[in-house]
Amino acid sequence: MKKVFAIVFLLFLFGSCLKEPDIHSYQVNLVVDFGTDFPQDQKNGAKVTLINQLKNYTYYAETDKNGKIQFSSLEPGFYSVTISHSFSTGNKKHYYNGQKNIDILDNKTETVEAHESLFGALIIKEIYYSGSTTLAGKIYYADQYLEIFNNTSEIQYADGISVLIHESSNSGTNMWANINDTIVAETIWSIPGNGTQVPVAPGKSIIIAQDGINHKDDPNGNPLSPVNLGNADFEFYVYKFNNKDIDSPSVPNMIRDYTVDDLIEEVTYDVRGGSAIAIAKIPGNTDEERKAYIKRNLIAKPSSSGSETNFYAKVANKYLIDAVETVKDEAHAIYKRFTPELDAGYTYVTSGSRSGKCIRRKVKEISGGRVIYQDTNISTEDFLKDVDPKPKIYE
Amino acid sequence: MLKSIVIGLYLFTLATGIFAQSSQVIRGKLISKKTGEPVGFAGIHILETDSWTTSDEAGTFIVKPSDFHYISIEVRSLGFETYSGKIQPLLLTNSEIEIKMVPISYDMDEITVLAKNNNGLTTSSIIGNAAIEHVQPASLADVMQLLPGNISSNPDFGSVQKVSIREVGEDDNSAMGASVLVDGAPVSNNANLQTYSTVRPDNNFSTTIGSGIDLRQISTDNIESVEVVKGIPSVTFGDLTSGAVVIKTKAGYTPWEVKLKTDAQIKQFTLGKGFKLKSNQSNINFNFDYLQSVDDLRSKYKGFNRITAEVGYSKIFNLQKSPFTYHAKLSLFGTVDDAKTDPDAMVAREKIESEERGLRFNMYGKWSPKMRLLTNLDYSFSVSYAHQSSREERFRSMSGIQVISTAYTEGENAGLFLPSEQFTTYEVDGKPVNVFLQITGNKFVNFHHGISNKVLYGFDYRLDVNNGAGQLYDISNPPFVSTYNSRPRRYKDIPALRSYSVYLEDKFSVMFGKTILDVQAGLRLNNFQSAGLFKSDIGFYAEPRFNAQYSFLSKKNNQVFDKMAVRIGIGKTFKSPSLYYLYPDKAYFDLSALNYYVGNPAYDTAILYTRIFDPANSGLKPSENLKMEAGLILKIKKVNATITAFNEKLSDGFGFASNYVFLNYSKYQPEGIPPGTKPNPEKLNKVATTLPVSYQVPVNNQETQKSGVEFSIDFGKINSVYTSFMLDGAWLSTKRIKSTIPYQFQPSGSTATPDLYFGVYPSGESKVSERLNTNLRMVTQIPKLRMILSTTVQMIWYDMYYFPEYEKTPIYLVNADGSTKEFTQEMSTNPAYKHFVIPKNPNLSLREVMPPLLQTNFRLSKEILEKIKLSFYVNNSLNYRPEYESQRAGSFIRRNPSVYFGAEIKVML
Repeated sequence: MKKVFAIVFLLFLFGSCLKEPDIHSYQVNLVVDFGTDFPQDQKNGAKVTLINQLKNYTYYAETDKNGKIQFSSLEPGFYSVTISHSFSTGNKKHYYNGQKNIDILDNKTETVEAHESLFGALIIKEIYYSGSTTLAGKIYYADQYLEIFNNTSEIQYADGISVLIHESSNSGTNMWANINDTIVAETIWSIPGNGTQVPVAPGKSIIIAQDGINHKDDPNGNPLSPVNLGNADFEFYVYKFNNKDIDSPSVPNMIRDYTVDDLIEEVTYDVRGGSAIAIAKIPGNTDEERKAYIKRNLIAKPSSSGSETNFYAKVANKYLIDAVETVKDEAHAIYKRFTPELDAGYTYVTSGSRSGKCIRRKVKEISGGRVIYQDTNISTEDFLKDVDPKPKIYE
Repeated sequence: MLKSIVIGLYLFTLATGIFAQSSQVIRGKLISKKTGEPVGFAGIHILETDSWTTSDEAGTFIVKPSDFHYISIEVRSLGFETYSGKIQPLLLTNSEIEIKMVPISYDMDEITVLAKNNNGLTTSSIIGNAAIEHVQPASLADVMQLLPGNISSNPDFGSVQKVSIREVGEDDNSAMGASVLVDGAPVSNNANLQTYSTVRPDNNFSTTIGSGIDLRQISTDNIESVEVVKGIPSVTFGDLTSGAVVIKTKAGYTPWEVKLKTDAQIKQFTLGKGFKLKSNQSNINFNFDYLQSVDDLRSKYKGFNRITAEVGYSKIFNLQKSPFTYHAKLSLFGTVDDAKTDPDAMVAREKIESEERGLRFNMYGKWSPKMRLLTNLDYSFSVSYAHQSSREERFRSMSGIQVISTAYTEGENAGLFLPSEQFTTYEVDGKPVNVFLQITGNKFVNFHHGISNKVLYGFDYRLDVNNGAGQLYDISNPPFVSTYNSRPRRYKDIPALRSYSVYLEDKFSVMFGKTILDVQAGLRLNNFQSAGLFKSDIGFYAEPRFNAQYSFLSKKNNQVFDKMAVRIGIGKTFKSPSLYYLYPDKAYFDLSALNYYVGNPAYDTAILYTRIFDPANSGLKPSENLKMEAGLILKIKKVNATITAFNEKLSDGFGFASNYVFLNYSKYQPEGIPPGTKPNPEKLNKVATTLPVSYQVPVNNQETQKSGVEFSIDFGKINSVYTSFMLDGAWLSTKRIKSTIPYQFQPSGSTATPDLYFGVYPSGESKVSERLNTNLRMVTQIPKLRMILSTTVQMIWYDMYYFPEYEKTPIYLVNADGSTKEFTQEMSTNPAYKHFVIPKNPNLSLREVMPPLLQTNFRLSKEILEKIKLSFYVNNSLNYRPEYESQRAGSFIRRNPSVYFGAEIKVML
């Protein structure tokens, strides 16, 4: 009897070993929808990137002439699809981008929309948001800055260009995601000028500092800061009677158009990367007209605790010049805020807050001594991560 | 009054021996039930005549007979269960009774390890020595869990623990109004000023400023009994609103007791002994306790340490004729709350510490002169002194350069640019001194025909002052830079709070046939912050208090009920504001007139315009509580039940409210300052500016409404299973109103120019909480094994809270010039004003109704021989911790505390 049991047991044991491993793979057909006006002959060769979000590996492929592509054996999971395509008609270059998150749990066909992207003359070249470490090991973020670069061969004017910070802080779902044609901003500050006062030469840039001082060498600053912003072009200065912010007389101040909370003491970007930043040319020939536009386009958001409601400013996508989706980390990329036509990717400083590192666009080419930065509107590819801040240095 | 406490005892210890003796006295003898040895120096109290005496060394005592048919006798002695019983004096005159006292030992049948209801006139719960010991408390906070309506939680030394009586949750006003009395004298928190600034209430260190005392500071090993007065207290209790916690410490003989206790957070060592000095009929008690607690074993950087040492002396004079007792006690205590930096996680050198060291001297006793107008006299005097020191060492890391003012006077002054990071230290040095004196006399008169009357009269006096050096820091290197700045202040300069009260109370008992009516009615008159005998700075407040009990069923008139009585009570109590609310710090506004920073100290210039406001509110009133209750007391054989419905309204609670002012000053225009020069203000253009600012003013704007029903049914012991059963619980409804008066508020704008008007919003924001819980407590005691196991099955049947809807549109707006304008319907859509309407999140008024929740706790104590006692407890033994999804936020709340256990060993030598 014992023997029988032993045999049955062994059979059972080996039986379970012999069982087929439970692995599934699926076939996925992707169709890129370029819109109705898209020239049929340009549909082939669009770059398709498929990222497995859990395991973080990537497939690269290109579309066929019908704008389609088939992935034959994908393991089940959550993927992010990015489409990037460019072609020229005459001497005009067109950029099309698309992005979509898909879950592959079965064989399926998915359609991904791609839209023609903005192509701005002025672009965001560098964002330094992470802040630096103090001697005591704490954070110092008064040295944050944003750099706007002229990526063309003609002189550009930055007068009246606004800096926007998106309302959603990347910690949860962007509650404005259903409004596709506008972004909702919590902060709008603009460069002063009548239209010809702030020229940006080809291949040159302007720096918008939080505080325009020499952070590195000023005894009251932070010796571990990587930057000297004493020669910044503009600074954010918040006048508060209790002096949280200081005013550097040599650096002109940005114009405060809109800030949600008047208790704020300075304009800061989230040091962990939660601020999605855009630059825009909001309609209005004068500061007053621009402010009036903002005031007409306020939208209320009740706070979750119910104690207070704030109003935020809607700005139509068509007024945006450049937008860079910075996120906190890979896990927060699902809370992306900018639509694919604004930024089909995302980027961030992987070494985190206090690291003293920044994100900077890759150099695409150097033409006649003038640096041209890459601007495909996919920040994932356009930006270098974790580089040392180099304001006004082009390399 | 305590006659029903130990019902079971009296049945079998009733008068056991009768001997013929000399005339007109009842002679008695106290012996230990276990050893037969005499029990000396026990307090013997005759409730009907309010007379008392003590036993001598041989355990004998003499009681004068009276014309009552029955007298209730109560005997207390340290180390024994309180005895209460009834005797018939007529039968026993000229004879001797023998009373067997039950020592607190687990091989005795009759010991009590649960809270008992006091069936007297005032609703209270009494927790005796054995019960306290069985809970295995580390502080008084753990003992309070035995009250019906309170739910059990794990010991927590990580933060301040406050008293909570008849309410869901806790709040500062209710905790402040709960008076904790140790040996007759209150532990006062009135002179506590431990805050960085009264205008900046969020301190990094732990403090009980503006609230009740911290229960963590009270160790329990020297406590003989705790009585929690929930109903209408006697007029002898004052300066309170929500209730009183009356602690009696040990006085009398005890063996050497050494205790070691440990659990996941706590390590505790205690040592105690009561010496009997036979030569002069006195005792010396001594107790030492050391406790160390860490919040989280994995990171021992935040902790709480407590050390207490007490020496008490007690003596009884003139034993037989007119006895006089004298107790003197000196207690020393020290507590340290500290948070060091975790070298792996935080910045080196940073430290937060809150330390308190104190000394308390207490003198109390009573005298029975048996004079014409004075049957008894109680006296109590206490003086306490503490040194409270809250310190912080930290880096002020502001990420950016800031300007501050160091001026102590109003007007323009030169500002100081602060580096973006600086190491700073500060200390809040408080030395509160509290004095309390109370003398109460009473006269007992026994009219014949079943009527007796007792008149009680007396006075008390309280003084609370702080002699500390106050906030100490370098104003040119302040630890914080906040919206409105403060400057350090010496606490020595703050006036003292002096209050006195006189009171009168009459208590009578009338028999109507076979029913008895007991009435207690009294009046207490308080002079809060007295400016003289008949002058007061805060005012005179009268507190009428009334309690009545009508016992209409007893053994004499029916077969079923041993007792059935109804009682009602109504009374008012007041709590004076503490020094914190009476004398707040001045509010300083340092307005920036010029901010010119080039990074060169020779040219950097800041000009500030300083304005100073005194937020003191001369109209501040004491907070007030109106209590009403009605109850029923029932006794059928072993089953003893009480049920009480109550309604309390604690109004005029203390809080702070914003007060807006518009400040006019001139800003200098920095344009046109030649680079490389120091700005000369005289040459700069000025721009007149108006700015709204607000500071916090102490006001009476809080209200707590408590109502509910609490009940307790003691089923007695079922001998066959060695287990006694008790069911208690409460339905509590608490409404806390955050603002009972209209308040000023200016919503944040979005543009650089501030609104030159603020809104006045209606009052009424509140939170309503309701909870129904029951505790089934089963105590299994096996005397042969010398073991007690108690099982508590706590059910929260219903737990709900919500925020009632309230108006969030201003009533009117106030302009900078002081004129007002009504806030109209049209304005709520006008872009210039619509941000003054604060739309409510519709989820806010959703009711969060949490489903029933079970928790089981076990406590086990076992004696090994006479000398060693081992105890173990486990809370939430099933580790049942369901999640509840909040309706309004969608987030999850983990209910029930986590499984928690601890053990202790006690050695008696």
